Amino acid sequence: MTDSGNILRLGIVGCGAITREGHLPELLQFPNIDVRFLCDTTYEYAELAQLEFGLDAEITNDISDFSNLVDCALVAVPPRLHAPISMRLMQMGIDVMCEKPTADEADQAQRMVDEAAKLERILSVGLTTRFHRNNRILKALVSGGELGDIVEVVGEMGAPLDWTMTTDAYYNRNTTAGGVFYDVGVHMLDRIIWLLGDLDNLNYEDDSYGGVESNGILTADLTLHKGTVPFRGCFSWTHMLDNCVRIVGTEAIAEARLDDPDHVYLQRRVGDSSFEMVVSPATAEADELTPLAEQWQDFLESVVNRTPSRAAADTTIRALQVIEEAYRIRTHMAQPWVETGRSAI
Amino acid sequence: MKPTKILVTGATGFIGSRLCERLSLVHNLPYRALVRNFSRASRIARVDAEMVSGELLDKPALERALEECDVVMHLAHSEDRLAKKETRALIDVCIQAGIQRFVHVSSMAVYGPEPGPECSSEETAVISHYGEAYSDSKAGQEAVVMAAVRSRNFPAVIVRPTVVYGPYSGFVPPVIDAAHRGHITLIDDGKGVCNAVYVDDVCDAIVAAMLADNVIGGAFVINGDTPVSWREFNLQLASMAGKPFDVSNLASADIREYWHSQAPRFTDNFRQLAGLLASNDFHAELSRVPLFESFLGWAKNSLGERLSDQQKLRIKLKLGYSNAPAPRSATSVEWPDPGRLVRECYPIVISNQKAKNALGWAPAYSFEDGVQLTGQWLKFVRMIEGHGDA
Repeated sequence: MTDSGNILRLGIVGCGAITREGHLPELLQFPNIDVRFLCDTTYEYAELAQLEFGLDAEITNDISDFSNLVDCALVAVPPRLHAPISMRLMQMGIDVMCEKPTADEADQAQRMVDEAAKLERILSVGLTTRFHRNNRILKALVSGGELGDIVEVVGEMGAPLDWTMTTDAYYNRNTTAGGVFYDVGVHMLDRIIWLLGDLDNLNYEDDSYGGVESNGILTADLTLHKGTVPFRGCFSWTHMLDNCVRIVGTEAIAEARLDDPDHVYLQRRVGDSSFEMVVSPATAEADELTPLAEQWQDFLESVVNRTPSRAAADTTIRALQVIEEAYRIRTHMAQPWVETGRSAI
Repeated sequence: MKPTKILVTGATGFIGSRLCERLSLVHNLPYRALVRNFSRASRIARVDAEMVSGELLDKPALERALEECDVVMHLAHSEDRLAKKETRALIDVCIQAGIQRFVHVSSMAVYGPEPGPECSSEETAVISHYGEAYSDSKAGQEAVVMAAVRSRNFPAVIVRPTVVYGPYSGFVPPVIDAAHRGHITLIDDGKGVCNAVYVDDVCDAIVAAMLADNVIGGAFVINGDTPVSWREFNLQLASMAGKPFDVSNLASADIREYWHSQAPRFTDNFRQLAGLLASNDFHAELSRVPLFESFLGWAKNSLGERLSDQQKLRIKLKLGYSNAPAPRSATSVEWPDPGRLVRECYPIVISNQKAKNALGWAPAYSFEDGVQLTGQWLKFVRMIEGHGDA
């Protein structure tokens, strides 16, 4: 599989903020990774990555250079380019870890999955919330009946955008298929579907006025193994939301918070008092990896052992289908302070 | 004049974002937004604003941004010390590009922190140097614009908004936060004048200044029709928090005295430096250098043997050390910051009559209307109760 034993030669496509601030600090922890190429159309970004991490990697703007010199690749480019670049890399015999979302459209993602199967390549997607350790706890609390009957599930992701963006790639229809719902919604919907069950009977509204939305709300029926419960997902780029998955049961409420991937917060009433308990795994490992590092470990094991990744692309398609369907049935979110037509001239 | 295309600088700020929304949704005018940091552009991305990356001191970027544009609406104000230089650079490129109308968005701050009654009208107001960074910066920008009008026939109009409020205003959240904490502080019983103007009225005034004839070289105050007191402003907003709060009063003289006492003195440099040299954290860092590690160990042991515990403590106290906990008090004073002091001690009502006469503009929102819309936004962003959605 590799030309050099267990060392995996990595090529990075896209050296923007997510690569430099997210992936590189995590993946460089693994001694069996050798970063061979930094590929970006903006030379300065690749050079920044090279200098910041002291990498002895070649800088290029053409992935053809990877041919026969790379075993696996990170694809961290604007979403519209995920499919063409990942497909080309796989055709060059390279395994791919692609940033989320898998592709613009579910059909396109399916073609990527089919290509990966035909070429026997690993295609994993950067859906990091699948690697939050509190997923196990949440699932156990639900299936063990600890929360009583489930009456509602809420998922919220929202905060003002606050990192330096040097381009309009997040908003430009040439580079992205949507706004906040497409950007962070894919994390939440993938997590809900992967962890709990499928979503159906969708209703969706957002605040697009011809451009990409900054706020979106999805309501749907969530199919759990004991029946169907309402799901509500809220997403925002303009203000802070609760940033959690909240499962409301008749006996207790469980919250898996995005800023604490290891614990579940359990609220329960006992008599007239209510308590919050922090639920941790009984056997916490010392020196645990971050969710993103765990995702890299999972990907590298898949590449070495030729086994499916925990975020294999074929399991990510349903969330994209839900997003597509939601955009199709979109209704307008009323914002009277925006829409007032009253004029002073 | 009817524009071919407008370049909006400062397009991702509080007023700039709303201006872009209204240019798209109400006035249906073509424009391009100059953007420095795209993470702040999510509001204008909703209306599919055309965006171009650039900074005011980047001449090639400005030249690209101005292609096809014949109007500039200049709202950018990055840093007080850079504002004049940036405005001058923008004007140079605008003249080169043959811009037909330049609307400079200034501020009533050009009248300084304590304006006299002559400033109630543009005709009698005097603009000078105040020793207050924001006022001086805005006045400096206006001077640059007016010099270009006089000496280079630059087709500029100046608008001077007063206290602009509305959704996304920086003035609103601190009042709501204070109400949530159960305590609102007024300055001089809130008697200062709040020349409040709703953000949509300001945006429309900017458009009016572009459209109006015979206004080149003019400066126009953009104020609401119903100035209120800061008591009304603060308490009306605070009441939307839906929680009981008490109201206390601070005298402006006491606030000034407090900030004066907090101003750094020359001797503070030595006190801080001595404190740093004596601190355990500094010693720990220094000890990472092997030579200092052994020296510090020797010095500490030698001194430790010669000084009593009382002597050691007296030295520490002189260096600012204290082990006493801060007193727990329900009535501890939160001193309003100097910016708020200037705003809320404002002595005069500023007339909007000149803008009404010359620009064909008149405020469309009473204070009550503006507060109501702001309240709907506050619910949406969950600063006050009543949301149910995003």
